[in-house]
Amino acid sequence: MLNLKRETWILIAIFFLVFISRLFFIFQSPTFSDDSAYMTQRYTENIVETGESLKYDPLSYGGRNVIYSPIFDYILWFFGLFIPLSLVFKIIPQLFISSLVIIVYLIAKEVKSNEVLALIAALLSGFIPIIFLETLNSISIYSLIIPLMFYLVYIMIKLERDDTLILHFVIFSFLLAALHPSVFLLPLALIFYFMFMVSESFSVKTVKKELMFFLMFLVLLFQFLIYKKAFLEHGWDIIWGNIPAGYISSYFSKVTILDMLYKVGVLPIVFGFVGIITGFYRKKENIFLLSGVIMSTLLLLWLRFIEPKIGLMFLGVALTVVSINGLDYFYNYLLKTKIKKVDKVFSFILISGIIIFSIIPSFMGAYSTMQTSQTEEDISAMNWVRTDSSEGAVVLGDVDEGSFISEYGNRKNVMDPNFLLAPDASIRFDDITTIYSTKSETKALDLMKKYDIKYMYVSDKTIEKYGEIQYLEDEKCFKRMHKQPAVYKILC
Amino acid sequence: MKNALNECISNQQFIRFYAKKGMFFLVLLLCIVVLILPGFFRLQNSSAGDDGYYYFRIANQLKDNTLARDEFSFGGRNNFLPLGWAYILAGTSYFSGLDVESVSRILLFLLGIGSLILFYLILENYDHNFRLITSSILVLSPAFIYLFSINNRFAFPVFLTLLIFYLSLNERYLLAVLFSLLIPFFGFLNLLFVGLFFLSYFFYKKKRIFRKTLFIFFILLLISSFINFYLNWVVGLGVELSLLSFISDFGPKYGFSFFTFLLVCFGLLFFWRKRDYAFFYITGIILFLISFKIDWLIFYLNFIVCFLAGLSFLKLYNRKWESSLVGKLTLWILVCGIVFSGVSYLSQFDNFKPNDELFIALDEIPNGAVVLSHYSNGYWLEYSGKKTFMDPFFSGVSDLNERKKDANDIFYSKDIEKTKNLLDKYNIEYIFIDKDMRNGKVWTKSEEGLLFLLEVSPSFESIYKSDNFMIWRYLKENGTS
Repeated sequence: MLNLKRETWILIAIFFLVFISRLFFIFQSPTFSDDSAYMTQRYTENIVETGESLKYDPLSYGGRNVIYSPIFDYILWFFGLFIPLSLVFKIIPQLFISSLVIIVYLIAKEVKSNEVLALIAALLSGFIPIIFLETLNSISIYSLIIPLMFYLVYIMIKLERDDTLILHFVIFSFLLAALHPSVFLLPLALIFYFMFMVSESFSVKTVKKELMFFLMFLVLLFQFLIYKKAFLEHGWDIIWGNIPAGYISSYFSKVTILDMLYKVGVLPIVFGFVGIITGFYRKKENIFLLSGVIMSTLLLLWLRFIEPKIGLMFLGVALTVVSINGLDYFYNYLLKTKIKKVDKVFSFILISGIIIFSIIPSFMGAYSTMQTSQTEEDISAMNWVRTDSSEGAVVLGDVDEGSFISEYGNRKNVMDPNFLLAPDASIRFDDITTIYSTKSETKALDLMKKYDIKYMYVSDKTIEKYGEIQYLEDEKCFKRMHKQPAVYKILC
Repeated sequence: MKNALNECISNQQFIRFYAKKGMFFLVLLLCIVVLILPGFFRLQNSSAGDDGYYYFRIANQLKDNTLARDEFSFGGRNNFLPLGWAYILAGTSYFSGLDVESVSRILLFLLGIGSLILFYLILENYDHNFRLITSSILVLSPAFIYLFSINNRFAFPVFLTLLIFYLSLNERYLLAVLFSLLIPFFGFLNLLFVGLFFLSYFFYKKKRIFRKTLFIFFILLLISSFINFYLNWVVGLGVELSLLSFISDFGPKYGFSFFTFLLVCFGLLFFWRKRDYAFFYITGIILFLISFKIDWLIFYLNFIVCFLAGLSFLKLYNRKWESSLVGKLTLWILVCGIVFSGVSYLSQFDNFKPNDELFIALDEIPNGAVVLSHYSNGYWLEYSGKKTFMDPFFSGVSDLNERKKDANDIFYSKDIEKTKNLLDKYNIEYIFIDKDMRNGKVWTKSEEGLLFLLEVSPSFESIYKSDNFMIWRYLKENGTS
């Protein structure tokens, strides 16, 4: 038996609780709930087959150049050397994101040397609803970015006493900088941290300043190297990733306080903000650093430079860590009151709060997320497309089904959610919306001709979104090839 | 023994001296490579650039002695942009027997090399490493590459400014004054900004010659006004810029490297208390602000930006890093960033307008015909012998606002009668449309305004159509254009 401390066993238990809860949900469906997962799946499969990342995608948008960072795909490929790829896509992202509980525990312990509170923070971080749902049943790159980013925050805190971690910081910075543009958030957070420190007349340790400059330049260089072409093509608009005008409102929906309470959880928000206030009042350096993450996320959300759901994920973790400062304040306050058995009351309130405001919303959300994933029938329709449709044909599906068509049907789509450098993304989006919603058969056929569409996939989700498509009843032009969900062959 | 030691020391000094010089020769070699590479990267036969084509055309006309008035710009006009550069091109072409385009390439190359050497010499009083770093940053800067590889009217005055500055620093004032007499031939604004820079520098550093400089400046302004008046040259303003247009990595045709710009901004943190560099920072900020209105000032600003970026880099280089690993990596990242900006800028040269197909398409239009297009295509149309309805040379056009309004009416109206009346008013015979015009520069939808009329009206006949260009002939009432 390993000679581990009781707290470590509890932490391991929390990790497995989070990991197994996730596995419980994801294995209820063979597919994914997010269309971009199929894209990652296809890109990784390409690495397995050819040993190289995809530069020209023959199926996306009828064939187009793609630019993206292939690091995450290579990481998945690496795991694929040991376990079947289908399991890698399901398990590995869940393993990455579950590791967040350990990182949060480590940071929390640095913020407040209180094992119990650190374990509570770890438990809370495992069930932040927005993270639980957005990274569940999808191959989300954020399942790696979030733990990595907070690991760097942890090293930044630790550096105050331990300079040997510099090499760790450097290595993980390289990995993080190469992963995704959202990592801009960390250098920005460090700038805020620096500003807070200066404003409170604290001196920042020189090595931290050096690492801040290093990380900033590194992230800029990597992002310029990877996305140079997109920078030239889209300029400033690259921030919005060439998202079609009609689609952008669903991407950048407004974040209300109620949204935040529901998606991040009541406890992290309430105690998180109390934690920030008390942290600033007591001038705690670690709180400045975490407040930097919170401020930078809020700034990017306010400027609409980051998708709300992504911003809320970072915000959720940072607030969860800071909330232990608030919880400590609350506990000390309870001690000063005349309430009997404070420990038990506090534990009861806390555990109930975590269950009601974090675990239950996460599980309920997970249940509905699983409902949105493609069904066995959807796969059977795509199997028909793969085997019986003509090779190289363009298959029309809704935007959020594009990558599913390419992955399972192995046919060209008209559009998928990978908008960066996509040809005429806004026009295509409008045209697809017109095809599915118009009552004019001529108009629909004209647009189908424009994209050389040979088959049309009409899933239940599409009908739910656009309503019944009446012109499909014209059997002269549309032959139903697959019953449910429907796949039509275009004859005219 | 002592003699042997002295000899040994002098040998060491000799080696060090040549090692230092050798390092500069490497920068010079880099400059030669950088200025040659655009020719290799650009696979098109046509030169890149836009206003450069104005100078090609005028230089050719000067060479053939046929320049009495500009018959092509705005359908015909009496005034010109400052023609100093066109005279140099025409003269050199005439005496060398080479065509104007080749002369431009050779002269720009030589001016580029010369400017680098002058810049290096101007920094004589600074640390040797600093001079090497700053010169290298300059060579790799997109604005420098553009200035000395694409035909434009600013390369020569920039070189002249550096030469005059160098001569002034070395107190060879007579030569400096002689060379400054050439500046008025390159535009009034050029002279104004260069003069103001010299005046403020001398006021700051060499007060004893400030008054004399002021006197010379006024004389030069008078000469410039006289030249402009006598030769009918107008003040060539520039294009307005947005903030991102300063950074070449975001797509504009020239600008600074993002990492160089970042270094300058960081330099503010290091040097804001140092009076020595305040002059350059203040001058840089003023030029930066004016560049929002006059884009070509970027070429002058680039030298100051590279100087300040060099200072910041050296500061980081000489800094005692607490973690040497992080220090080395940070410096390497900066070097990679600056090199990457330069190299990726070079690799874009083939995408720079115009492409060869444009001139093939324009061959379908008879020379001397009046062509309607977006004004930004004007210089290329004129170079290929067509009269334009509008071009980017707006200064000195009396009916500019009316033309702008009429152009808008033609582009966006679906009223065929109104469109025909306007086309008749300016005697427009052909309409030239490129891909950019259809993709947002003029229209955003395929059936908008004139695009709709061109497709449906029998008054227009398509004479050229490809993915990139469309040319339509306007058929007047009798069926001829």
